[in-house]
Amino acid sequence: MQLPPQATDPDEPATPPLLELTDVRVGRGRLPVLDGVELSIRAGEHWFVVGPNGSGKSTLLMTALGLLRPRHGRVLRSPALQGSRHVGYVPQRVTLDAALPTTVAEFLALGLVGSGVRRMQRRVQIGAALMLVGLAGREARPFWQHSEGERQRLLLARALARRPRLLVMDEPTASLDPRTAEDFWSLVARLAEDEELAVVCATHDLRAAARLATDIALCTLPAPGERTGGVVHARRGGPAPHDDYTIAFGRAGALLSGAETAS
Amino acid sequence: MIQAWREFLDSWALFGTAYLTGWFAALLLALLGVLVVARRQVLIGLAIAQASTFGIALAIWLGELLPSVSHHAHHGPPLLASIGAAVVAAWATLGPASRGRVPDAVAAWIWLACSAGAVLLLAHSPHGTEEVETLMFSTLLGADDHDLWMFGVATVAAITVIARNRRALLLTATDRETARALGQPVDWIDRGTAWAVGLAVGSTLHATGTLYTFGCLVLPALAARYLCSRMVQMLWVAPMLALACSFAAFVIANSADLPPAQVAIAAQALVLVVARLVPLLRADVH
Repeated sequence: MQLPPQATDPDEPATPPLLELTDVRVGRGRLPVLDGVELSIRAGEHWFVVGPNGSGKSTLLMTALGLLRPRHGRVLRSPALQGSRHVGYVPQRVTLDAALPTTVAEFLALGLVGSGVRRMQRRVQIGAALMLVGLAGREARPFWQHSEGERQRLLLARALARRPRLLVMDEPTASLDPRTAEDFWSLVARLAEDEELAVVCATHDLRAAARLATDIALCTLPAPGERTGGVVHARRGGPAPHDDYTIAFGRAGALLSGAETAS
Repeated sequence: MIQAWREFLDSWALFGTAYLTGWFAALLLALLGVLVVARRQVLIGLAIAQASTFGIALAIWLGELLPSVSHHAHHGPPLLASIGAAVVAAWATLGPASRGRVPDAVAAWIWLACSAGAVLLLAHSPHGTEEVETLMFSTLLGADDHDLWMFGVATVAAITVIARNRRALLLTATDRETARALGQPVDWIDRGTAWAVGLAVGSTLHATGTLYTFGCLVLPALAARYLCSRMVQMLWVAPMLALACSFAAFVIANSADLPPAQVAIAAQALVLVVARLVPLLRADVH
């Protein structure tokens, strides 16, 4: 899949990676899921992890978050992440029980667990994160008074309140209508650029991936006779992979984004 | 009212230890109950309490089967069996191994199996069934100094641990996926919660009975949901509601010659209904 180039200077010296996976094999339970994974994620990059259901997108995210140990290979996390202190996470949807009372400020404060942020600083960071997602001044408002789209932005704000260097998102627009999802992606793209974040996002939204990704990690199902799938990496402006599956997937994305017509 | 208060003070010499035990138990259970309610696992409290009753029945049955095993009515094997069964049930429903199971289904199985098992074990025991029935309907006045110390220490320990880790506990209770992603030791928190709830329910049930234990575990936390604007507030509002209800209930029960545990739970149930109206009234005002 070949992504059209963005306005970035390819000769610019690369910053050290925040996260590097070298020849990684990971699995869930007894079964290996992905093998031979090679990824290097740097600040300012916007990675989209795409692929069919069961191809290992969530497994790859869990590995990136350090929740799954590789069975082979190694995962290097930059000291700049300070463990999980500067890692933000946006789940697919809010799992909080709607019967539980919570304010926006408390909801965001829960996301600061383990970040070492003290009380006064916590208020500042929460206020700043709300401003970033366009919901400034809502700290005291009940969380459940917000619409689905706003709640998804609050999930993003909760992740941003940690001042992350690496932002990991697991299908964050799965529960949103197309227009709200589009707004969400635009917001993420702007924040990623302004805040110099490395964003890793699993999604089925090929349109957004084709439009916004600097890099795409396509998780592939196991080939006939194989036990594990793999990850094909496509970089915007980089060489196109040659296997039929990836090319077909890329065409679908390009068609959706209008960046290319099928030949 | 003044007369009731005087009678209550007069009864202190006889029942003071039981009152204090009941209040500490109410504080402890209501505090832990916030975590149970936040996890949407209310029925688990009932299952753990019933498992604890089964543990006591098992200890009594073994005591009759093996006379060398003491079955002192209050401490020793029955207490250990009560706590042990509660911890096992809490582990099955709240611990890391509970993931992937349907909580209500597990809770229902434990409740049914333990209810039937407890009665069957003691079906031919001269006093066994009576003892289990007494436990199920609560026996607050049997608490002694040993219980008082146990609940005093446990309450202080629970307050300290929960106050220090309140956000991590609430995040894990309400959003495990994010808690794990942010590096929280979710499995250890599950284990700790299971142990704490199991120990608290097992020891409380042994001293106060199923009704008081289950009631104090869930009713104050459920009421606090309606009275608080933040989850963190529930951690002190629920114990205060439990304490206030138990305090008023013991005074009323003493004056009207009613069973104190039942009065306390009736009061908590009433508070829950009143608390449910508060958000509706607020909405009308706004």
